[in-house]
Amino acid sequence: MDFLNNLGIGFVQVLQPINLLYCFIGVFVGTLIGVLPGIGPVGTMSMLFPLIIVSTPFQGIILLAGIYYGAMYGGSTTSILVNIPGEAASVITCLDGYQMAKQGRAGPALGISAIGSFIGGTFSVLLLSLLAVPLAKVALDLGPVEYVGLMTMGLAMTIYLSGKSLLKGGIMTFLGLSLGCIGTDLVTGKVRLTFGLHELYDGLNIASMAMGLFGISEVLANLSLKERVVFKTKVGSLFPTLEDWKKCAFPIVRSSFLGFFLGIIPGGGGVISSFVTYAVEKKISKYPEKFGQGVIEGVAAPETANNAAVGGAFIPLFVLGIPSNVIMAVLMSAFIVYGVAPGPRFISSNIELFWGIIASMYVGNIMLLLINLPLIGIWIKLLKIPYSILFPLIILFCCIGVYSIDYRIFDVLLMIIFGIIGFFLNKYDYPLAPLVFSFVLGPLLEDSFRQSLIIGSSDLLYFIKNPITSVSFGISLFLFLSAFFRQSRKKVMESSGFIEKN
Amino acid sequence: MKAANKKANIVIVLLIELFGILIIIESFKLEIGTINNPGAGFFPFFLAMAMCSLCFPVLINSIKESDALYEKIAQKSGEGPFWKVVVTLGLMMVYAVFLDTLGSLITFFLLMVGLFWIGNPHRWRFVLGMSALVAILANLLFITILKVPFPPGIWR
Repeated sequence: MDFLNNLGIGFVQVLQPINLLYCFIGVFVGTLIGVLPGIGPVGTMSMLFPLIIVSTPFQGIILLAGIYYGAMYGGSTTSILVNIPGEAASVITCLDGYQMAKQGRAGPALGISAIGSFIGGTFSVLLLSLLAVPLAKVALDLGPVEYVGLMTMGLAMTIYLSGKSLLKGGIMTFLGLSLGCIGTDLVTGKVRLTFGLHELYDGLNIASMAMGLFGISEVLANLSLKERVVFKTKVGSLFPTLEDWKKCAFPIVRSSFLGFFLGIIPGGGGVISSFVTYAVEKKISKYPEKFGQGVIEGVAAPETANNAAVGGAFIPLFVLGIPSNVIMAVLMSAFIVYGVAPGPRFISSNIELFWGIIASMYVGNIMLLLINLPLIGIWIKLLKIPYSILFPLIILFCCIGVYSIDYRIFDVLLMIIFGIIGFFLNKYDYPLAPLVFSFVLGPLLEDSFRQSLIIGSSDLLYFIKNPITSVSFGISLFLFLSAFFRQSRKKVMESSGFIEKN
Repeated sequence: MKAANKKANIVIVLLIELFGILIIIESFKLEIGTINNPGAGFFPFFLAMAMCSLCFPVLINSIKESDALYEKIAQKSGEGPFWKVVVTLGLMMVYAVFLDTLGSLITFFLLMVGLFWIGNPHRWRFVLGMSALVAILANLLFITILKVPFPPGIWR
């Protein structure tokens, strides 16, 4: 009964016209950036900081959350029509989506993608609303030592999933953690690693960093690419046939479950869930050889999963106060801007805010279905906007957005520097997500580590004696070892000529 | 191109390594402390040590990597005109430097002119018209409606 009452409180809030407008702007902008390759949700969320500064915490958070799940919807459009993923989580949709478009079935591909996204998204919000409260009660019993273990596991998972090289992922993680130390140390009061720049006394600005690494560097990388060509096909009817429905029903159900739980895993989120569910569907399919040639399950499964992962990704943030991926890390920064601390006490002390966000996600998913299906023609037209017109606007919004946070030109310069850094790091396969993710986790990790040392009387074995922490460390070690052996085996295969070097 | 990519890759690792060494020096200045009584430099010191240790094998790999890999990196980056990247960064720097002196409207306009020109070098009317439109709309949205206090510049 409490659940329905609380949900009712949330709906009362979100159904106010101004809040509906914020929710709509969020999902609309999310779909837009999902459709337009070249800028992802992280850069956009940072860019819209000026808008959230003038809004209430509830309005700001529902706007940013809307961008996240809106981008998951929109990303499929370019994957299907252009064979370029609008968002990283839609990479796998290119395989079958584009083939379907080439076979004249772009409409059903777009339709099943939107409907699967709606089902996955709504299902995950339902699970989020049912699980978050009991899990938060459990999380209240966790102390700093458990947090050290969980955060270490999160970082290990991010390194493991981040890219080709474990070493480069590790370097980026330690670099991010080190950058997180910049500023005034709250325990000793000493100013650390500012190298004489008083602008850094409060630490690096997360928005400058995220906009530089994910906004500016993306633009710079895209500047050297050719203009994309939109596949010329009649979209036709968006509704899948009865045969399509029969094929997609179980993949959608499976991917909703799987996507949600993969979203909870630190370092996971939409990208991992879309890849895993595609692999699962291919594995259990009666015709795995047809995957990649335009089977509709190959579109339904990943698109359902990447939206289902969104609800899952909110669990660690709401329950533990630990972001599970880089998008959640930026969202957490927005919470901090508003003076709201996510964590085990977040739900009990912010009932209206929490249930309002949940209700906004139900409403947002319905909005997305409405703006994605009937308005598909508009999104296709937007795809035809040349990049030479888009990129100046992206840069201007980044420049304005980053200045609007603290009104400092220094932050604009910082963003440009991170843009250059991101451009080169990306070019040489250094993963950027662990850098931002660990930057946000750094201060929390250091704080928990210091508290643990005090509680455990500076005994390092205290970490091992704790069951949750020791299991977390064990999983982290297992991940490193498995990645190490995987890479070593690959190198041996490459050197013996069994596989091509890349 | 291959040689340039190889050099750039090595320079990146060296720069990260150098940053790590700077953090280690700074950590000593801040006082590292002990496990019983960690100082302000304790955490950064160990992070930088770990970062520098990981940089060594990457540096060795970068030096040893075959030319074929750098060929692939060159292909990945599209072999596109690098001048666009340099000009874009230059324009952004100019924007940041002159924002306070010239004010938002003029710097928005100049930034837009430069950036639109990169993609449309032969369409001056379009570049000027579009830049003026974007600059005015951006001013209206962010300064008039959202009340972001941008420097007034020459209209101070």
